[in-house]
Amino acid sequence: MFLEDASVLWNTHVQSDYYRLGLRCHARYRHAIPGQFVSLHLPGQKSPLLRRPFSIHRLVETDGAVQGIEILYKVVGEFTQTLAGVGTDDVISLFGPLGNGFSIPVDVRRLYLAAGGVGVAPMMFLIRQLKKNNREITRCSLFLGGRTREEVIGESDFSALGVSVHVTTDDGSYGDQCLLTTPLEAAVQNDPPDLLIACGPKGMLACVAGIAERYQVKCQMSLETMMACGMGVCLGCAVAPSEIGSPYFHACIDGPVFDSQTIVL
Amino acid sequence: MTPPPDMTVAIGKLNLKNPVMTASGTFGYALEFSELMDVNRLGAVVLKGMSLIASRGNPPPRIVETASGMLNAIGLENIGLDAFIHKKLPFVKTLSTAVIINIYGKQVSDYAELAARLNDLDGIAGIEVNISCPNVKTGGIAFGVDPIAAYEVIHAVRTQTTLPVIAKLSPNVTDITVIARSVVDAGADAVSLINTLTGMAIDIETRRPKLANITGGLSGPAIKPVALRMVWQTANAVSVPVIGIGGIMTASDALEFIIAGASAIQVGTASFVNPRAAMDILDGIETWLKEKQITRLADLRGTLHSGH
Repeated sequence: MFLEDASVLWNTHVQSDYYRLGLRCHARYRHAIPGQFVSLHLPGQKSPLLRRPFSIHRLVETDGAVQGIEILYKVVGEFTQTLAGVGTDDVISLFGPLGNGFSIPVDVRRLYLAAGGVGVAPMMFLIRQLKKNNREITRCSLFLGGRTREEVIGESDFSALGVSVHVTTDDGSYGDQCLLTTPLEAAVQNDPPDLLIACGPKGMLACVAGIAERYQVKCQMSLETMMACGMGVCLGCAVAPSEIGSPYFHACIDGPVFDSQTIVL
Repeated sequence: MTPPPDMTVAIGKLNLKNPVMTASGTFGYALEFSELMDVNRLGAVVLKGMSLIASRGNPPPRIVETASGMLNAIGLENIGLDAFIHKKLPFVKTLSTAVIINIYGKQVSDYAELAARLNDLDGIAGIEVNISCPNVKTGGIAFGVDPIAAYEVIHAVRTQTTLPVIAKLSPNVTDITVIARSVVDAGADAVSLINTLTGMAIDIETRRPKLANITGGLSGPAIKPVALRMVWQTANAVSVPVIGIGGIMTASDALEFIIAGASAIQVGTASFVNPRAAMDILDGIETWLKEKQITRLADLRGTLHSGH
């Protein structure tokens, strides 16, 4: 992990409340693992007090050398509102890469991804990394859900990488009008994957964990919790273990990616 | 070139090279920060609060951010003394800075046993006794709000160890100087204050507390004025060194505590915002002393000019 002052490469509006932030970073981010996160602090930031964690959306590479990272974020509160106003060449305190990441066993051929809203952020890094490592994924499906059409992010980017994308929206303004877990469950039932990966709101994750359990499919999910230090010292981001009486996990160092069987949401 | 100012501080028989310490529970076991900074430059590191046996802590959510601060109800989750000795002490022993262990118990005998066992360990320079955690049902704060119970705990620790003993005090009392005097009478070499202020936050939509424990301890810049007042009161009431804690984010904050009478300070929540905060504060204090041509930090201590 590194603590550095990172200059902003770009901070561009995507659509609706979504933005992409490019940050120049230490070259050793080449060792970053999809699912890991960084925590940011803005220059002069007094409110909110604490840093905020974000998944790495992708590495920014030139001729194979890592120059930076990209964050995909949604404006939801005071921090992200201020972040949206940051300009190119501004400097942000960048701390990372933090936590663990997804671990895709070598025998996985069929991969389903479930992403709700901004939960799509770590999926791009994961897919690109699998491509880069020439992993033999014979089937890769992304179940991409948003409240509205405006909240469905990156569909064409995933399609371009050969991922088959199933879009759902809560209001039916795009794709099927249902929760993403509806087509996901049908697909898992008819054509089970070797591994299910999920990131999104807690309710969605609980539902995905249920699907994984019903159809006996392995599932890894990336959690979002309240977090202060991001490095395992404040112990604020406790996650309840499924094994009664065993110690709490901590999202920042034991996660944010967990095997769905090991935790209680 | 002017020589660097003398920033040494004596806490009982413990001599620190400078006044900047880390606050318990915000710096892990120091190992976590060793790849981010030269931990040995700090005056001392205070490790995560430890009990005799491992403790699970409170259910989540354990933290919530509030205006200029945060509430926590971790519940003193820790690995316990035996695991500490096997897993953490080997690294801790390699540190050249003073390592202070923070301890807590559910009963007086727990504190005494911890003190006795720590007394025999290499690599430990002092003991900070937590009689002020607001987030555990038994022990902790129960001892810190009653001068007689506080005396008993510190006296029990004192009789079991020759290491310097620091009593960490709670602000959740009517008059902190009463408790401070009591622990000094019991043999404390120093007092550290303040621990967190008990508080709460509510989600109005669900009408539920934002912490599973309902209440938690408030830390961060929000509590600094209260901490400063209590440090000033305590420094005027006892003759032992006072270690100031509470919302110190910058060197300027730290200097306020020194002027109020603190011999040393602890950096807590600031380390969550900037993991290198303690180091930045140390550098900032040194720079300021040089600018003001103050050659000894001790000359600044307790120099508050009261009255305008």
